[in-house]
Amino acid sequence: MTAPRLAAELEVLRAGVVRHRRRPALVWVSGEHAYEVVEGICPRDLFIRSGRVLTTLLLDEDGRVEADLAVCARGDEYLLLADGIDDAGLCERLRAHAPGDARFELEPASPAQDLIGVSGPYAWELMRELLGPEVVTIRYLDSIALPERVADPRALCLRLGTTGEYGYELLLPPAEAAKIAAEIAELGPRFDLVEVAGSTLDLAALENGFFCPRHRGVLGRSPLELQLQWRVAYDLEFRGADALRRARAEGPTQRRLTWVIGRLDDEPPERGPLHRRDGDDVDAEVGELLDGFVSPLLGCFVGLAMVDRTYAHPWIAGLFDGGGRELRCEAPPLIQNRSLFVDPSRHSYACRDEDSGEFPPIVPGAG
Amino acid sequence: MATDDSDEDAQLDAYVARRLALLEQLRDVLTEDLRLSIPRDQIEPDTPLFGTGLALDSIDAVDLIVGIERRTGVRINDDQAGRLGLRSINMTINYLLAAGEGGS
Repeated sequence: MTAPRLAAELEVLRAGVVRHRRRPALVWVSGEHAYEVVEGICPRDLFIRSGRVLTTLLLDEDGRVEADLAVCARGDEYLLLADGIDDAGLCERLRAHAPGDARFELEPASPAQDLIGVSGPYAWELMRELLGPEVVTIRYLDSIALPERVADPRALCLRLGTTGEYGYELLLPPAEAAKIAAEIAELGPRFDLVEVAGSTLDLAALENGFFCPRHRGVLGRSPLELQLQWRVAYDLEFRGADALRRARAEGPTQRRLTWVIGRLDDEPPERGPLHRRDGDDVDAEVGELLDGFVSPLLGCFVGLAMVDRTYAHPWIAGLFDGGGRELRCEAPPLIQNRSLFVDPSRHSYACRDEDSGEFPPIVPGAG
Repeated sequence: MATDDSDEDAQLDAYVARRLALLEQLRDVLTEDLRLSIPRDQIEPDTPLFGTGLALDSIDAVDLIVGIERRTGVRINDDQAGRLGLRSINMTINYLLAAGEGGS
């Protein structure tokens, strides 16, 4: 994607509404032992009320992250959304870790269902126009069925998102999805709606500190290295649990995932080792730059690095890449998301300019 | 030059120690005042506080602010800066350090 296109897409995502299509693995788990089957791969307590979405991780046998996993409880069945793996791979893992005598069914959502997403600080308003006022009451990581629109109880509106903005995903039969897509297109001009690439959402996730399996260098690492221990429970049994407990018993890892930023007066930093410097001498390696991009909104390089714990603290600078470009550790989220301040009971996209005085700048310290 | 370097190292050590002390104070607030059941070591510097992460809600927010103020002596303003400053553990530590009090 060209830099101007990326800048335009991110700008709309941060200030308006965007539409997107992403395709994580989507599998319905049903049957008498659905709970036990999901439990076999879920590193968090599955005891959640119907409608709630649990964010966790799919781990391999070594307790390392294989995919981003969200589990949505819907009555007696579960919808699993796994980013970083395909439907077949998810089903294979579920079957492999199901109790031997379990009675259950696995049904990939596709081709029976399509996923359509809408994100941005005014996404709630477009969704309200589309589906009615109830949609505004959906809390983050929750879901509702759409009985007035589709009789199928598996047709859902989920409030998800890894961009820091309001984010909705509609899971619908293809015919209904096509109708909804046409209605979104019709409403689009009122919201200056833009369709964005999945890669744009991934970069927005990086700006906001969300885990994304497509960020280079993050898969295959332990939740202890990625600062994702809040997504696991050590007292449960699941795929990779023993290895994870052993890793925890060994104590903190030498390095942890850290957000870094760099100035733009030079070429962007290169992936690879990071060093501290002592005058003109290069000191020992203290980290590794994994991924990053030039954020057009923030006007700087934003990256992810594994950094020695001694230096992995916000505002510590003096980390240099192979080309001598300096990076500084930062604390995500790096964006002051407008979605935190847009109030569906008072604000609207049409009045965004009049309301803008109530909102802090999207970029910290700007304007 | 060696003196400058050792001064710099000492400043860095003090800065990191201050952040770690604040991290422990925030863990105290979350596990003792808010009684979250998550073990302390699973509350990490970049763990989000609201929505995702520890998934605190608006009622927890009141207890969180009271707990932080009581344990650190730093007043959390009920304004945009305060709201933005409580998005993650590290953001909260940044806020406390910027408020100039640190772990006092």
